[in-house]
Order: sequence, then structure tokens, then C-alpha cells
Amino acid sequence: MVFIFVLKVLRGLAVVSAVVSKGVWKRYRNGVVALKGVSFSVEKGKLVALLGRNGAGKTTWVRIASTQLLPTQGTVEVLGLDVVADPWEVRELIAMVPQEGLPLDILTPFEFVYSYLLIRGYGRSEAKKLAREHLALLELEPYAKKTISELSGGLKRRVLVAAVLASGAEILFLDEPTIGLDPLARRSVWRALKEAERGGQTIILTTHYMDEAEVLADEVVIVHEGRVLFSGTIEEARRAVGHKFKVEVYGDLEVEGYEGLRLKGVTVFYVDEGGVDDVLEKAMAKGYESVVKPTSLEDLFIKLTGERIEEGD
Amino acid sequence: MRRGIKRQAVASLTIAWINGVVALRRAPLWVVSYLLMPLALLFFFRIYGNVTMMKMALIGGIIMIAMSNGISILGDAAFFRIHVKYQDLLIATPIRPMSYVMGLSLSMLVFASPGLALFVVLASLAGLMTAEFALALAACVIAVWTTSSLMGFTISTLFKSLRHVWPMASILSMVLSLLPPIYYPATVLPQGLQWVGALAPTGAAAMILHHVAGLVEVEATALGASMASLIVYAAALALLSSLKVRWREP
Repeated sequence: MVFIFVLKVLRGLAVVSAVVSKGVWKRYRNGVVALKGVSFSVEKGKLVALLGRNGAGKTTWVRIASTQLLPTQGTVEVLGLDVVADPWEVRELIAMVPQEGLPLDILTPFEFVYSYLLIRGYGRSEAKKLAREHLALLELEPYAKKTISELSGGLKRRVLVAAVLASGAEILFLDEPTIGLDPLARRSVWRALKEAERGGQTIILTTHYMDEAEVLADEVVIVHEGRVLFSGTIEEARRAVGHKFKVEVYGDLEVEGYEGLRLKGVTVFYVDEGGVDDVLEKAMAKGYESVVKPTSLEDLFIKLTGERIEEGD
Repeated sequence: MRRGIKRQAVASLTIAWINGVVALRRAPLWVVSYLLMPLALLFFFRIYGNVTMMKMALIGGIIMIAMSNGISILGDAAFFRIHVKYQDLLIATPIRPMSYVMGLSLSMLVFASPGLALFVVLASLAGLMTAEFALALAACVIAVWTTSSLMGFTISTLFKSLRHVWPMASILSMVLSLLPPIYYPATVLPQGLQWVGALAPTGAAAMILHHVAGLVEVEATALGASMASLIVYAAALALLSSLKVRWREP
């Protein structure tokens, strides 16, 4: 048994990809098809953002990859180990912040992180040291001795992130780790995640915050209605938009030679420098207000899906 | 890093520590709430009954405390799985599902221990504590705690919403402590049918303890059924809870 385990771990060390998802389908018992052939891979030591609206299938994929849910079809490998065939070997290597997860409110942040590390197999002194370090990293030191029930929702979420980062697991799955956090708290989590990435941990986080993905991620995977629409680096994503600027016109407008995308009362034109004036002139002539912005990751999402990522929330 | 059985044992004890010792220290009122009913019944049996009935109420109280604390795992397990997703957090760790169940069960025993200690002291003062009775009592308390906590955990896996979980724990607690022959002698049941009392693990434990304490002359078949009942319940519920633990959903 030990020999087989060692072999599997060595095989994991030899592989370059941290996570490989191949044609993953998930059909729930109620007939809902949450994933429709999801394929992508994540390199070791990278921070990858799974982007998509609520209900896109991000959480379903994360639950499959973290051994909580069985896929209907397809495979997910974590460091060369199949999550269905080798769940116990995989669980040694991963840690996860569940969507809408909360730390136990009867405990203090220190007790929660410390107990999580004891459960994972750390000795007492090491667990104490790691708990203190990671509470400091997430700027939770002032609250370390308060009970979690006294903390705000954002602080509670940070306690959970601190515990999972402290685990030292090679692969971290974070399902919407910054949802409900104020801007300062989000930046604190971002710093901690970057620190973990620098330490060699591979991080897969789901989010529907475009700015979060742009700031944090090395690569993005855009998931929409159970399918992967784009997978690549942030630079590749920006290039895939195809234009430097977008002009948002608050009204229905048609401009010859330019394709407008209608999104709830706003017409969006993707243009390069020369095209900005053309669209603005037409918009002014019609009396519509308009705004020019540089294109971003959100525009790739809009181009791919015809919808804004936040509309469903 | 610890590995193997030691790691699993430490994981169970850690869960028992956070959900038992720490939780008890910060919310001691739970102990009072679990003691109210057994103390109230003891009071009424003492006032309106005779010495035998009072001793029966002491034994009943011990069984009720072990059972009601054990069954209350239902609420904790469902809360951890549905509301705070603590179970999801732990699935992505090396902890085994039965270590998790064991940890939660132990935490229920921690909550039961002050009440059990009080009733054991009262039972000693009432002259119940012979060596034979103490042994039988320890075995029965362990059996009732094991079966009720495993039953509570197994039932908790059936719920998708917390709304229905809390009343279920109260209902089960009342049914398992008042319907079987715990606060009344099994001799009340029709002759030849005393074994029916052993259909509930609490009834089985009570019949054994009533018999060992010399309070009731229980039929030999009923006594045998009681012992078999406790063993079968514990084994069956351990198996069932391991199958229903939802460590990976289909």
C-alpha cells in the first residue's frame, strides 16, 4: 500500500500539469446538466481564475476536482492522480474553501485555523506556528482571540482562507473566496494568494469579479452554461477581444461599418483608435450619451456570451 | 505530519475538542437544557412515587441524557454540512468520514458528561451503585450514546434544509425516551411481549439496568433481546452511517 502511494506521488511529481480536466460532464439526478465537456489544464505553481456567472458550472467543477462530487463522464487529474480512482491520495494534496463556507462561530479564528491544521495531520507546535503566521498574513491578528461569531462576514471568510492557505497543500481550490468582502479585505486576500503562489502552491479560484481575475490570475478559464468558452493567459484574453477600446452608447444606435452589441439599453462598439470618433459623432448626432473605455477581460466575456457577467446576480 | 491511525485519532479528538470541550465552555446552557426533563421527571417521581420509582427515574435520567445528547448530533451534523459547509472543508483533507463521525459523536458525549456525572452521584446516594450495576451502567451508557449518535448522524444525511432538522431531534428524543420502558417497568407490557421494549436501544438499555438493579424481574427472552438489540443497533447504524456519510455525492 505504502509502495503504491509513493509511486503515485512520484508520478505526480513528474507531471508538469497540476490539474487536467478532460471532457467533464455532470448531469444531476434532477436532470440539470451543469457541465458539458469541460476541458482545460492548469500548470503547477500558477494561479488560475475560473470565470463565469452564477450557475455557469464553476462550483460543480470545483466540487468534482476536490473529490466531493462524481462526474457523469470525463476525468480530472490532480498531479497525475485521478480524482475518482484515487480520492485519498488526492485529498493529501489539496485544500478547499467551499462556496458560502463559514468557520465555526463558537471558536476563535486561532482555534479554527489551529484545529483545521491538527485535523490535517500537523503536530501541535507546527500547527500553532502556521496558524499565527497565516492569521497575520490575512491581517486577522487583532481578532485572533475574539469568537468568530463576533466577526463580520468578510472577516469570517478571511479566517477560512487563512486556514486553507496555512494547510500548505500543493493545490488550493477557492470557490468565490472574496464574495461579500469590502475592497480592503479583498486586497488583503489577494496579497495572501499572491504570497501562496510565490511559495509554489497552485491556486484555482472561481470568481465573477473581472478585476480580481485581471489582478490575480496568470490564466483565466471562462465558463458559461457548463462549457469552457476560453482558456488562456490574461494577455491572450486581452488579445482575443481584438480591439483596444469600447464605446458604450446609452441608446439604440447603428453605425455603418461597425457592429454594435445591444446590452439592456446600451449599445457597445468595439473599436480601435480610428473608430472611436466615428461612433462618438453618430451618438452625439442622435443625442445619446456615450463613454469610451479601454477594453478589459469583461469585454471578452461579453463578446463570447453576449451578456455581462454581473447581470445574473 | 502525522499519518495513519494516529492522524485519524487526533482528527477525531480535535473535532471532539472544538465541538465538545470548547463549545461546552462557551455555551454551557445546553447542559442545563439537556438536564431539565430528566430532573423534572426525577422530581415528580420522588414526590409522587416510591423509592423504586425514584430509582427508575435515576436510571431513566441517565439513559435520557446519553440518548438526547447523542441524538442531537443530528443538528450539528446537518448544520456543518448544509449551513457552514464544514464537512465540505474537511472532505478536501485526509480525514476519513468515520473519523469525522466519531469526532462529532465524542463531542456529544462531552456535552452529556456533566449531566451523567450528576445522575451517577445521585444514583450512588440512592444506593444503586454496586460493582455489577456500575459495569452494566457503563456498558449501557456507551451503547445508548453510540446508537443514538450514529442514528442522529444517519438521519441528518437525509435532510437538505435545516428547517426540518431541529424539530426532528426533539421528536426523536421524546419518542426514544418516553415510549420504551425506561420510566416504567417492562412488566407493564403483556406477558411474553416484553421483548418489544427492546425494539428501541433506550428500552433495551433500561430493561438491562432495571434488571441488574433488582427493580424489575425482566423475562429472560426480553433480557436476551435487549443485549442483542444494542449490539445489532450499534453495528447496523455504524454501517449505515458509513454508507450515508455523503463524503462524495453521486
